[in-house]
This record gives sequence, structure tokens and C-alpha cells, in this order.
Amino acid sequence: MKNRLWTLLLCTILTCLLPGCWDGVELQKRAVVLMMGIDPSDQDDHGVKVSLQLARPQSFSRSPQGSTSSREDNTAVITKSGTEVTDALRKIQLSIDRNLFFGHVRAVVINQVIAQRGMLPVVSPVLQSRITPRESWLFVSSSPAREVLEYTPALDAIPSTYFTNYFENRLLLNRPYEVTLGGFHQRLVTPGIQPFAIWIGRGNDGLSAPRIEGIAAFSADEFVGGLNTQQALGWLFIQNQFPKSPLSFQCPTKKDGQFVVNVKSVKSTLRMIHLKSNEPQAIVHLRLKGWVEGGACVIETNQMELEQLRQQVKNEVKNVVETSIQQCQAMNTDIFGMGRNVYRYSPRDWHGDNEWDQTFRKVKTTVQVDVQLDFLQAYKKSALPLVRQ
Amino acid sequence: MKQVNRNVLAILLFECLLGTGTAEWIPSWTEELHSAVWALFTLYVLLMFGVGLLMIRLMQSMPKEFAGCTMFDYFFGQKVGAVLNVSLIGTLLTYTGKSLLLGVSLIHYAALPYTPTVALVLLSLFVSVQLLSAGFEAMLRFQIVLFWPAFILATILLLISFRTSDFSNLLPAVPTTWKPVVHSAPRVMQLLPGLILLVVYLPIFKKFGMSADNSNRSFVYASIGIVLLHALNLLAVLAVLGPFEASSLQWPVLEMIRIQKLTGPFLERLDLIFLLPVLISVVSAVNLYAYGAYYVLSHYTKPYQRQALIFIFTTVLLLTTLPSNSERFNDVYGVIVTAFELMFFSLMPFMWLRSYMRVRERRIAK
Repeated sequence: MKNRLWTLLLCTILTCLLPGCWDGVELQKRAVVLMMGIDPSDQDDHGVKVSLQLARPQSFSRSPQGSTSSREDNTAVITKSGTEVTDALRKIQLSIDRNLFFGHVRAVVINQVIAQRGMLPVVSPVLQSRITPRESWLFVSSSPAREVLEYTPALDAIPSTYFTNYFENRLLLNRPYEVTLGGFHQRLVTPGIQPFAIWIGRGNDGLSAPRIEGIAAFSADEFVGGLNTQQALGWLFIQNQFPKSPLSFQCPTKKDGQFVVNVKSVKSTLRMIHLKSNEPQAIVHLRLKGWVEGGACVIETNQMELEQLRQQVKNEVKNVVETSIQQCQAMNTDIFGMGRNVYRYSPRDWHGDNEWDQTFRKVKTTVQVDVQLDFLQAYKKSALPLVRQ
Repeated sequence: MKQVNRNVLAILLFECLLGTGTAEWIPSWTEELHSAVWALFTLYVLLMFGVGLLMIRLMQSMPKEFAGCTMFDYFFGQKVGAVLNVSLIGTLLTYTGKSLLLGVSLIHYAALPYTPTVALVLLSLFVSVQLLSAGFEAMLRFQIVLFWPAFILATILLLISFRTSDFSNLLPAVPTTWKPVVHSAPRVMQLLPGLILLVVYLPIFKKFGMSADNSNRSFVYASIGIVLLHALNLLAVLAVLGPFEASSLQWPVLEMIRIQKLTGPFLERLDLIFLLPVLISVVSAVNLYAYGAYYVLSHYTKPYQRQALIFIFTTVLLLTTLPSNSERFNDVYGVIVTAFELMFFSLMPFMWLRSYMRVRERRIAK
């Protein structure tokens, strides 16, 4: 009987130690952070201004307003300055009546000016303490980060979902992980490749959303420049990141006309040769498959026309890839991973990132493009010539 | 005893060799060798098979009943065996503490940062204490019941991770120089503490009549399973995260699972689901090591088994809650365990020699 009483007492005491009570915070006591933006401080040259986009759950049942000026939004943005990000976050915490909860942070927007100084001192504390999870999307903004956080996209009730959908719907990249904080860090620590981020700018007022400007290229953790959407296309092709989507090409015979190719796959390989010489060579082989889906110069679906279109696509793709590589060589940032290719396939010829930084500019590139096209149109013959007559 | 059969022995051996299953060895292995870590892995496989098969052979040369409780008693006599057994108890308790600290650290990292260590430790020990007092069969049942669900769930999650893999990250697979391999060779010991448990558990299975053929087969199945699981872990981490990111992360397998996104908000936190099999293996390791220590201790304190249980419980509790800097103590515990492992491996030739001499004496006596 005594043993049973002791056992019962022990069990009762132990149930008081059930975990979860120490970490439990009621939902009403949480301020859910959806996005974080970091700008340079107005007060201090080396300080930062942190903006947090907080959810207002009571507003989510109403449809979103596509305007940046409306304050009947699903979110609220709070900004504070500090010497460092964690200092600014503490000030934000002290200015609101709820516990900041970072479990739903989807995106981190860094001002271009901060990115030029170096990302690591800003991003590292929040990454190490897991305030921003490794799988948060990373953006570099040419406009103030706070502005980006104030957008309320017309198509999504939760603004951060707008960004997430870009990646989950495979609209920008095939491998979305590479554009997260974790992907950025992974490229940073891997030899022979430089990190990148999505470059965004002042947005589309109609959709109330930021505009994708291209790819932000880094050298180590410093932003050195961007590839615009056209140049970024070359990068997407080389990195096997181009998602299935339509592309427009100039008509081979008409200068003001375009035709559309629905690209279904782009596969590329990169090979480095002549590594022991002073001017190593990169051979990029690209295979593009797609369907021609009409255009000003697509009159009939015959092989002769197809061959002309195919040649035009080949030339343009080659041009875009070469321009992209030249732009990156000018900025001296190997975001293609040519150095990583050397490290992986010829490790004995790899002598470290410092040496590769000197060598990368001298790399001669040969681009070989193989295009496979077919017609996939509603009509065999276009009515354009009839209309023109 | 119903639970003493070939399949149960295979599962038990698997769990002994798996340890905590937290894969905390991956960052230290990839730090120096990067993607050429397979050389070290091969060394681990050879050592594990070699030492394990030798121990099975030694167990087969032992009689069913002998004066003592572990292989040390049979091969070194009662006095030397007792000294070795006391060191064994200390090592087993240290590794129990280390396993618990790892599990607690993982829970703090992934889910509950503010929950006190003592609460988590007490809850884990609650399970172990019940099993220790209930006996060997109860402990075996607990280990077996949770094995397959945990193993299948962990394997599925690891296979799902290959969705975001780039197999080029595995290159270069062969090291350009062998100096880092030689320098990293001692790190193989991080995966071998489970072999110490065989000193305790193999004689128990021998006592219940496990045949030589069954023991061999169980060990081979368990070893193949563990090699495949470790290889899968390593392959997935290297392919998804790359060797450099893997070496810089604290918990690369957990982070790798975390970045896998499946449809819908319900399955967003795959890393928390992955915690289930990992924590099951942590609790399993705690049970095995604590029971091993209790079994040896209670052999020497036969009338005072309850006191032995209290001693085990209190020691593990103190080992996990007293240290203020858990990472430093984790390293200290690791050094203690590795030192015993090295001593044990160096004793194996003597044990084999004693076995050979006794077999020869028996043949001459016949």
C-alpha cells in the first residue's frame, strides 16, 4: 500500500514536469512576423534599420486591398534602428505588447546598400539564432526594404505568400532552395562559386507588388552588381534553373516581329579545359527543347520555317549566355560555378578561391547551343497574311 | 524466454551499433575530408565488421554458464574482470549521460528552447527506470516495438530529401592527398561505442541458448543494416547540402529534412516529424547503456538491486544536469568513452588468445 502511494505521488509530481509548458505562448500573445527588411540606418553610418511585417490575423477574413496607402491591411510594418539587427529587433520587441514570433518568417529583404557593405555581419546573427530560418527567401532590393514590406499584393491575402508562390509555383527558378538564406550560405562556403539572390525593385502599382529586376550577384558576401532579366536568362540557362515557360524571340526576317517558344526544358553542361594554362577555357553545351506557339513571322508550319526559327533561337540563346558570362566576368563574380567545376572534376588543378578570383576574368568561353523545336499551334496556317492583304 | 531469438538479437545489435542516431559525426568527418569522406567510412565499416565478428566468435567460445556477467569475467578472471567491469559501468553511464545531453540539445534546438534540461532528462529517465526494474524481457520488448516504425519513418524522410539533391556535390569522392585521411582516422571511434555493449549483451543471449549460427547471422544483418543507414545519411547530406555546408551545420540531417517542403501547411515542419525516430533512437540508446550498467552493477550488488537502480538513476541525472556548459562536458564524456573503447580494442587480441588457449586445452583434455 505504501509503495503504491509513493508511486502515485511520484507520478503526480512528474506530470508537473511535462515539457511544452515552458515554451508555450498563447496565439493571442504572439506577434507573428511574416517578413523582415533591413535598410541602412538614417542616424548612424554603420547601423541598420530593421522593419518587420507583422500579421493582423483579424483582418485576414477580408479580401486584400491592392494599394500601398491603405492602412486597412492584413499586416502592419514596424521599423526601428539599431547598431545591429538584434539590437533593432529588441527595440521593436519593447515597442509592442506581444511576443515576436519568427516561426513564420518567409522572406528577408536586404537593401542594396547594406548588401554592398557585406551580408554576413547583418544576416549571420539572425541566421545563427534561427530568428530567420535557413529556408527564408532572400531578396536584395534597390528600393528601401521597408517599402517592399508595405506592399499588399492584390492576389494574396498574406503578402509573404506572394513571394513564396514565385518559388513554389516554379516561376523563377527550378531549384528554389538556392535562393534561400541557407542556399546563400551554402554557396558562400563552397569553393569556386559565388552566392546570388533575387534582385527586386520598386513595384507594379496595379498589383501592389515589387518588381523582379533580375539576379543580384555577390563576391563573397558583398553585392557587386546585378544581372537584368535578359542577362539573368543566360545565367538561368547555364545553371539549369530555367523553369518551363514561354520566351519571345525576334523574328529572323522581320526586325519588329517576335515569335513565342514555349520552352519545355533547358539542359546545360559546363566543362573546364586547359586548366594548367594561363587562359583556361569553359565549354558550355546547352540543349533547349520547346514548341513554337505562333508569332508575327510564323505563317506556315513547315520544316523550312522551323529551321529558320530554330537558327534564330540558337543565335539568340548563344548571345544571351555569352553576354551573361561577360557581365559576370566584368564584375569578377563566378556565380556560374566554373571554379566549383574545376574543384569537383579536376581537384588537383584547384588552388583556392583567391587564385580563382584572378583566373576567372581570363576564362575564354565557348557556347554550343542545340535547339530542338516543334510546332504546337492551334492553326496550321496563320491568318496574318490574309488580314494584311 | 520468448524474446530471445535471432531477429530480436539483430535488432538489438542494430540499436547498439546505431547509438543515438543523431548523425552528429557527419560535420566532424566532412570538416577535413569534405566529399572524400568515403575513405573514412570504409575504414569504419572494416573496423566494425572486424571487431564485431571477432566478438561473436569469442562469445561462441564461451560456455552458457560461467562465473561472472560479462565477457571480461570469462576471459580475464574474476579479479581483473571486476576491475574492467567497474570501468565498463563508468563508461556506460558516461555514454548514457552523453546520449541524453545530445537528445536534450536536439530538442532545445528544434522545438523547445526554454524547457529546462532537468525536465527533459527526468522524462527520458522515467522510461528507462521502469524498464530497468521490469527486467531484460521488458526492455527487449520496448526496444523491438519502436524499432520498425522509427526505422521506416526515418528512411522515408531521408529518401524524400533526395528531391533537392545534386549528386555532383559528392565530387571529388577520392582524396587528392592521404594525409587528411590519416589525420581524421581517429574520428572513426565516434561511431564505434556500440561495440562495448556487446561485452554485456552477447553473454546474456548466450545464457538463453542463442546458437552460433544465429548469432553470426544476426550480427551480419545488423551490421549491413547499420552500414546502409549511415551511408544513406551521409549520401543524402552530401548530395543535398554539399560537404562544406554539412561541415558547418550543427545538425545537418535535421536541416536537410527541414528544407524539404511538401504540399500544404500540415506537413510543413517535416523536421519535427523527423525528430520522432531520432528521439526514439536516443531513448533506445539511453535504455541500452543504462540497462547494461545496471546489469553489471546488480551482479555485484545482488541483494541491493533497488539501490543499484537508484545509483544508476542518480548518476545519470547528475551527469546531465550538473554541467553548466553542456558542449564542453559532451567533449569530456566523448574522451572518456573513446579512451575505454581504445583500451577495449587493445584487449581484444588477449581475449582471442585466451579463447584460443582454452579451446586448445579442451581439445587436449578430450
